[in-house]
Amino acid sequence: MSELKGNIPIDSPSNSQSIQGKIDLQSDSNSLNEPVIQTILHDLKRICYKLKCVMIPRLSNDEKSKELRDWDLWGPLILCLMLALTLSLSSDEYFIYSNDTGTLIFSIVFVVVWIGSAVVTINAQLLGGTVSFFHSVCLLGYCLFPLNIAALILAFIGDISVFINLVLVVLGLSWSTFSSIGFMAGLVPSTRKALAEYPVLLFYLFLAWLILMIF
Amino acid sequence: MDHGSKNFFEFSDPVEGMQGVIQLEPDRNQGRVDANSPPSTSANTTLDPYKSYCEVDTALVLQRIKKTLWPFDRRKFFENKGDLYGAFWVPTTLIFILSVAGTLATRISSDEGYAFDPTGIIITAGSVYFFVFAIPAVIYFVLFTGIDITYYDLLSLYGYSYFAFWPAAIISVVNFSLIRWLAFSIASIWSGLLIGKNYYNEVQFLVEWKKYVTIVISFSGYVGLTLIANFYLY
Repeated sequence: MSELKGNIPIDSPSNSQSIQGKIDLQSDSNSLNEPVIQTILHDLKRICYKLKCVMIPRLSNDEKSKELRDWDLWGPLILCLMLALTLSLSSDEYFIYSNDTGTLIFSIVFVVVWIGSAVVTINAQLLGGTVSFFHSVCLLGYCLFPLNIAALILAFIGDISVFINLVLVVLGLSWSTFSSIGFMAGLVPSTRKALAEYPVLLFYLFLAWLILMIF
Repeated sequence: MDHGSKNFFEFSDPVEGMQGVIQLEPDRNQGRVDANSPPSTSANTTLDPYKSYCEVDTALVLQRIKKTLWPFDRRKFFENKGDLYGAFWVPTTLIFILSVAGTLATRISSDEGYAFDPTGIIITAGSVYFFVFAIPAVIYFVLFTGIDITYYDLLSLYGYSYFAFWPAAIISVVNFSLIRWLAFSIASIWSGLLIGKNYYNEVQFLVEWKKYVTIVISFSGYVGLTLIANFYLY
């Protein structure tokens, strides 16, 4: 195991303290040597960990944003692709007389997710928020997870009743929105909180409506 | 190993077969360890010129939206300068409302099962964004060339004026053709009045042809939206 350990004394006027620490270098330095499967599993575990942090409501917003500080766009990409594929494949099943609907839906979902996240982030930045662009895009992408689950469930039981569809989508929408809205509100001055929160709501509302229309 | 009172890092990497010691000289000029340094903020140099146009609070945006509903006020719409927040999000919400209302109206009024057609969303979004951004550009570059109004002020006012279409879109869910035409025409005239009242002073002193073209172009955005909504969406 490769590691760095050391001791830095701090000379303050009253007494001298020291920082001691140990840094484990193994996690990244050896990833070139390990088999590809292991690297992929490692990354997947990280994505799942971040997903759990963002989704489970027990963490406060500050802790959440600290967890996501090392952002990655793989999680949002996987979620976005899953959502787009689910919606486009389902719409192809139902509307067989127009084959293009599936590809159109896929491109709409993809474009709306990425450009929508970018626009919401730029909006927060313009209103005076100090947040890294990718940090916020990452969080918005991870919060797609409930809507994704709703779409997947509806892909199987979407025919039963409109009421069930509505309930599931509303549940997914509120979970997604509540997870990300606190983060957005914390970025801007308090007089502009609603201005930063509203685009997040619109973003997820649009995706939820799209899911509802297709099933 | 004891390296005395010097700072040191000792490292070992059995895989690569290295081990060693890095000795550090403390910087005597720096006394304190600042544990509470603020996180570094990325410099948003590309967005800075636009930030001055987004200095609005929630209350101010809501107040401006309310003002669009009563265009007969002689005072200027913006106190000193426009804001891009309303200019972008009012039309964006309008696109969403139009898509929802359009699909709802067609589903209600058609007898057999109605297939969801996403091209409606694309056309609505394309046309609304085009009108919102292109018409102030035409007015600014072609017609108001000598006048001291910035493109962003025009854009802001134009964006806010689309708020009158929200009720029109919602009312038009009741899919009677007459109600639809009426609602959208009233919304067009309402929004046009807002812009006209605001820029009345500047337009008065333009050359004749410019006056008429200004009026036509301003209304064309709303008329275009009316036509598209009525023929295509509902």
